[in-house]
Amino acid sequence: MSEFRSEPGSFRDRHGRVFYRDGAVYRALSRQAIEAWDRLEKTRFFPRLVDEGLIVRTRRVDADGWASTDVPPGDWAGILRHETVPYVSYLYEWSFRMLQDAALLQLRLISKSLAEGMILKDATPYNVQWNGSRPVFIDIPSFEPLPPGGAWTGYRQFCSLYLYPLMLQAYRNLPFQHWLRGSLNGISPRECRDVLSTRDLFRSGVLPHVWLQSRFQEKYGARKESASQLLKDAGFNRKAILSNVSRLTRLVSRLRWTPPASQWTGYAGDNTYSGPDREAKREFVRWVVGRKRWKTTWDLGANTGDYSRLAAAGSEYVLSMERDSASVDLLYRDLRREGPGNILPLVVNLADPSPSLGWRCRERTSLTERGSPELVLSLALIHHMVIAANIPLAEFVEWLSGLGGSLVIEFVRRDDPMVRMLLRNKEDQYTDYRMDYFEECLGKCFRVHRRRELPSGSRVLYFTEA
Amino acid sequence: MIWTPLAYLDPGSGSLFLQLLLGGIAGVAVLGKVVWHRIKSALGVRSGAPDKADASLERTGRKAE
Repeated sequence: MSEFRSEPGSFRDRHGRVFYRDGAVYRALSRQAIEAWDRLEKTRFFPRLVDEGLIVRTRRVDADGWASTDVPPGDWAGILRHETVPYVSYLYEWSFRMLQDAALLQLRLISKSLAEGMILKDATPYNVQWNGSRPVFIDIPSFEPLPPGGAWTGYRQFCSLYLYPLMLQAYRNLPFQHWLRGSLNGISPRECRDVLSTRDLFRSGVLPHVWLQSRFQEKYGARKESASQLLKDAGFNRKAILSNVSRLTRLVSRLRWTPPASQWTGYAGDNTYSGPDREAKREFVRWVVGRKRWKTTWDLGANTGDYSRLAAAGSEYVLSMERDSASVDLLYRDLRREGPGNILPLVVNLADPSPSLGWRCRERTSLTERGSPELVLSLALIHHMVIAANIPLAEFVEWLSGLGGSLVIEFVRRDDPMVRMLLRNKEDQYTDYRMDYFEECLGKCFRVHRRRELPSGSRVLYFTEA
Repeated sequence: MIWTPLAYLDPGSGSLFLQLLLGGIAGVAVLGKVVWHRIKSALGVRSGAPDKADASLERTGRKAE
């Protein structure tokens, strides 16, 4: 019997439903959605963008022999099978440039579709995933034929989930991740208008897309007549949509975020390590990475990804998680330029990782529910978790063991300058932050294979297995 | 086949109207038509039979494309 599971986050659009069968990703489609798929398949742009890796590879499957329990309940006309992405991530885990590139992909798909009489009916970044640092569009039923006089129904959603978050970060230095994690539907025109100042009205795109849209919503939002019918009757056409899309493309591609001087972006080059310490640490990580071909490696507290790159050489896929979004943005930029292509950089605060969110708390799943690592790197992280974030040491080690993989962990002694800095303004109540207690906790959860003290003596590395 | 859009999203009336302005010349031409329709209906002038109007709008749409 095959193993079936319905995707709890796939319910908003009644014309399709994602499900999993024996570990593969499928999508059941309504009659009308299958007709849209047939048309999409015949376009010139679709196979080309699939080959470029920008749209998820998809094929229709013959489900005639399947049991009724192998598909979600409903009146479905056809089943598609999608290639899987290595790890599902959400926009509140992306950096500025990641959201920007996803937005540009979305706009590119719309203009390509319009050229062949189709459009995307929505515009949500939840339809974009990543293969390493390359965005890939995954929601095939978003494509549909554009009826005569049809408008771009996803425009407002594009603003709420792509444009406003990018604008607020670029113009006001406001991190969009917090806001988008708190609101799955994104930022409304009114909210965005309230955050921006009068001076911002003169910045690119603010007057039409924020101020006017917010005013128009107030003025026309409560009208009983159908605005889409009115547009249709008046002969709205795809030229008008294309013009809007190409101006949005220019606007989005010119947005720049200059992060404030961050504590972390300079860390890799200007930290407390001596040259020999750094070399010994790299050698240790290289040794672990070279022991086997690791399926998935999670680099926790990755900074600008130096060790993620080492891990990438011996892993199929690496998640590089860092709380500082400026560091993640730098890593993403470099990965786009020079690779490697198997690292996914993510903005994650490990003391407060992404929770389950949305309808029934199952629409968006928590960080650890979406995958599990075979190898975990926890380098120069424990003092930040225990002393800066006040997480009890034993709980942190327990949490690491719950991830289920082998572990490389670095313990930073109390005489290390960084630990002294973290303690400089705090009452030292961290009696659990001791090497002997750490080793006791580690021994309870893991089998320690190798221990290596760095030449300076203030840091110790361990390689352990569950 | 006449395609019914599968919109599960509410595009928002205000956002839809705004697309007329954002549509550049093509949008402004349509905006003119919307205003003209309004004036006509305010004056109590009825437009032509629906099928005829639809056909003419479709032609306009195609031409503009």
